[in-house]
Formats: sequence, structure tokens, C-alpha cells
Amino acid sequence: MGYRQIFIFIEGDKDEIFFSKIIKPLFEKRYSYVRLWKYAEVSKAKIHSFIESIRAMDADYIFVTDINNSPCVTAKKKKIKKMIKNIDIDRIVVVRKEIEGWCLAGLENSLCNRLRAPFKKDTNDLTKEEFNNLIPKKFDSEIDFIIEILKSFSIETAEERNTSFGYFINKYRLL
Amino acid sequence: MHIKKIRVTNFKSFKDLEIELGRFNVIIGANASGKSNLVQIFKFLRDTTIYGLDNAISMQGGVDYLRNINIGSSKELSLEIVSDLEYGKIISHAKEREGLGVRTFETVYKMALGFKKNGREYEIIEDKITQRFKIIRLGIKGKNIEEKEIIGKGWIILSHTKGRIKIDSFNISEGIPINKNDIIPQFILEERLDPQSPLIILFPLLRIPLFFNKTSICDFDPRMPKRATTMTGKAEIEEDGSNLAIVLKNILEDREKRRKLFNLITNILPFVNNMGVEKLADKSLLFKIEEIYTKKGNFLPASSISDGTINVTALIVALYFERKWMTIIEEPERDIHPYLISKVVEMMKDASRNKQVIITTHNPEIVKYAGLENILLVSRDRDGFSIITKPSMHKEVKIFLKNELGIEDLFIQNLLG
Repeated sequence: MGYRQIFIFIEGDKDEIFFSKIIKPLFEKRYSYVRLWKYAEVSKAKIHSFIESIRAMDADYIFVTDINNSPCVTAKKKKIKKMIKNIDIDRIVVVRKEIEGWCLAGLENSLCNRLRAPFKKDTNDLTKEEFNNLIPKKFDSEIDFIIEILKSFSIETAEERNTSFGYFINKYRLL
Repeated sequence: MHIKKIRVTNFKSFKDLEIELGRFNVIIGANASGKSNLVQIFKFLRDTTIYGLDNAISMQGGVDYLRNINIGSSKELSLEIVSDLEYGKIISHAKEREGLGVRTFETVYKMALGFKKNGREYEIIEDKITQRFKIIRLGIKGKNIEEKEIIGKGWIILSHTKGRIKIDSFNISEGIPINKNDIIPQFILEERLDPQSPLIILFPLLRIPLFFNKTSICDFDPRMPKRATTMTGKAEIEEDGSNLAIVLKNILEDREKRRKLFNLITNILPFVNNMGVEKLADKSLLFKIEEIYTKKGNFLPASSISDGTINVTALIVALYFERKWMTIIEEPERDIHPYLISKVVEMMKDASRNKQVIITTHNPEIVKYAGLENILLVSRDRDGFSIITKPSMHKEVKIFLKNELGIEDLFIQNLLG
């Protein structure tokens, strides 16, 4: 395997927790260098320049975004393309609905019981607010809770319980 | 459970200040704009509660430095705090399975000091607590109390003048069998206060939870925790972080707290593999860290740990392990790499779900990630008095942001005001 680099654009710090603990190690099996890049407070002009730089390096990239209030994945991709002109539309990955849904998707029933967290069969439509309401009382920090559930994250379970996560894993052949 | 509003007059660099606070507040401003003077409002009230008024004034350097130097003794100094602190109190068990209770939803505390002609002597000229509450019908089953329905509202105003406590005003929805002594017992009204002691020292007697002594003020100096600390220190973290080893020892001895500490530390400092506190021969404590770069069991003593690592550890302790309602941190970004600042801000926002967090900063990265709605800008007006504004309310700021100028760019260029 030659030297291969991939940059993964993620929105903010919670995405970074998930991607650094679950996704980055999977990509590291195929890439020599995997770098996460947070874009939440970065201007569109800088994102544009960053993509140009990645192209010049002949590296790969993935742009991860939440679906938020967009009606469908295609609409969200078009919206991103309109904002960042030089982005390749097929490199955009849309998380449904927010990263919290991906975090909770891999939480197996046995761990739910141990943490006293409710079991969610389907996390496709889980919002940040709903996720916050699901955090067991013993956790007074959302960050602590996310890190704790990711310690026992099951990719197979998450694929079944969140469509966009399953799509992502299959698209990049991460298993 | 937080302070919603503050009003002060003739306090340090403030002539007349009124600001609203949220759960997470980032105070920014140029050097000498008055950021630390805002922190001193909380410090003064906390010290008054703990040490009494005379000591609290002395701890500010005396009345000359407590009030504004230019205004001096010509005007009163006043402080008013509006809190949404909720607490319930059972008033009566009218029937076996039913009772009445009150639940406060707003407490306003105001204290004003007047100055005598010589300028140095002072007296309390206004000292008042106003509480607004809901009246609730309770269902009582053994030890279980259930709030059934809100049946009315009311308020009570309690004041203190020259040692005497009295109820100035009492109002309650018609037909509810609660009188003022159900709220403030008669024996409290018969108490004689030292004329120089404000009402807040009576809060425990009034069964009002104390807000001010639940305030933690931190201004960490990473050099302090690098030294060994005597094992007989406070269990709560000191303002400068000097007793960090003692606090960490207590955390690390508790399995659940230890788990939480490691999750939060490694989220920001992933190279931390283990932590411990060493008891030295002279019975002092020193904390130590094992990094992933070193062989297992090779701990670095605090003196060899980076300033940033110490600061992050102290911040996590202050934000997540201190049972306070408010945590104020001066310049939390000290010695922390810019890449980690967004995580520190995220952590402060996360902690603000359970406590009010106020920070002061000069750091553009903090400003960038704080969220415009959480920023308060301190500046000086034409007469040199400190004023506080919210950049989120400025039309010009919104236009700049819409045109892709970052908040941090506006902050650096001094365009947030």
C-alpha cells in the first residue's frame, strides 16, 4: 500500500469524539494518514481553499454533515454544493438526523440496562434534544455519556439501527 | 437555578450597570475594561455571606476601592441580584393526605451602602429580599410528596433596617389559607441583626438556599499545583488551584468519579494514561500523571507536567466535580493549545447544563466557539465607566457575520462593540 491520505470534514467537537473513536481506526486500516478537520466555525472560503489543497496533494476527503431540517439527503447535498462550489457531491456524507443518532445506534441492549439508558430500536430521527432527554441521571455530562457509550459501540448493531450509518460503512467498505 | 440579572451602582468601575446572564457567559473586553470588576461583584457577595460585610469590604481593599473612585461617597453603592432559584417548602398539612406548599421561582436580593461625610464609614441603607412563589396543592402519601396543581401565586418582601427585620409586603391569591408567618416564621422577625450585617447572612435561617456561597471563582496558576500541597487543605479547589492534589485524591478514590474524570480528561488530552496522587515523606501530596509515551508505571510528577495539562485538569475539576451552582473562571485558556480550545469551550457549555458558568477571556479561539449569544462585551464609556453590551444585539455585528467575517476576526479588530 502506497502512502494514502484522507481528510474527514466533521462539524464540531461531538462529531470529533465519535469519528476519532469509531470511524478513524477503521480508515486507518486503509490509509497511512487520517485527519479529522472541524469546519463548524470556518468560513466557506477557507473550506474551499482546504479542498483545493487536498486535491493538490492527491488525497481523499469526505465531508460529513447532519441532515438537520433538509427534506432529504439529495436536498442537503445540493445545499452544501451551493455553499461550497468546489466540493465533489459524491464525497458528501449525510448523517441522519444528527451525530447523536449514530452514537446511540451502537448501544447494545445489555449496556442500556447497565447504564440505565433507554434502548432505541431506530435512531434515524433522533434529535439532539431527544438524545439529551435520554441521558441517564447518573451522567451530569453529555460528553461523559457519549464517551461511555462509545466504549462498547457495536458497528453491526449501529448498521441495523441507523440507515445513514449503515450506508456510510458500506460505501467506504469499512468492515 | 441561576442568576438572571445583576444591577449595580457605584461599584468599582461601574457607575450604573444592568445585565442579563445566561447559563454560559463569556466576558470579553480590552485590558482594564472592567472584566475582573464584574467577577468582583460575585466575589464580594460570596465573601459577605461567608466572612461578613466588614471583612468582605476589607478584602476588596476597603470602601475606597469598592466604590467607584470618581463617584466616591457622593452616591450609594448598590447591588441587586435576580435569581430564578427554585426551592419548595411545605406550608401545611391541612388534611391527612393533602397539604399546601410554596415553590419560589424568583428571588431578588438588594443591598445598598451609604457613606458618611468622611467617606470611610458606611452603613447599610437598603437590605431587602423579594421572593415570588407559586402556591401548590400537595398530595402526601407517607414520606412521598407530590405536587398536584398550582392554585395561586404570591410574593413577600422582607427588609432589614438598623438591625430590625420586618415584612414590608405580603401578597397572595385570594382565598388561600396561608399567612405571612407561614413563609417567614415570627421568631425570625424577632431576631436582632447587627446593623452592619446584611440579610444574606440570615439565608440559612430563612431556609433560602444560599446562592452566593455556592459560587466558585477560579483563577488558576499552573505553577501552584506543581508544588506539593499539605494534606490538610480544603476539599474544594482553591482559587489558584494550589490544592489540586487533595481534590484529585478524593476524586480518584471514588470509582465512579474516577471513571468520569478519565473520560473528560482523555477527551481533551488523549495522551493521559493514568493519574495518581503521591503522599510524600513530609505528609504533603503531589499529583502525578502517566502518559502513553512512557512505560507503564512511570509517572511524571506534577513539577514535570506541562502547564496546559495542569490547567485542563483543574478546569475539569472546577466544572464537573465541585458542587457549586456557579463557576467563574478567569482566562481558562491559559497555556492550552489553540486546537484544544474548541473542546474546552464545548466542555464549559456541557457543564453549564447543570451550573451557571461565567468566564473572562482575551482569547479569539474562545470567542470563535463560544456562540455569539453567550458573549458579553465590557468596555469603557466616554466618562471612563465600564459598560456591558451584548454583541448579538448589534445590527453591524450581524451584517459582518452574514458576510462571512468570523466573530474572532471582529473581536481582534475591536469591532464587536
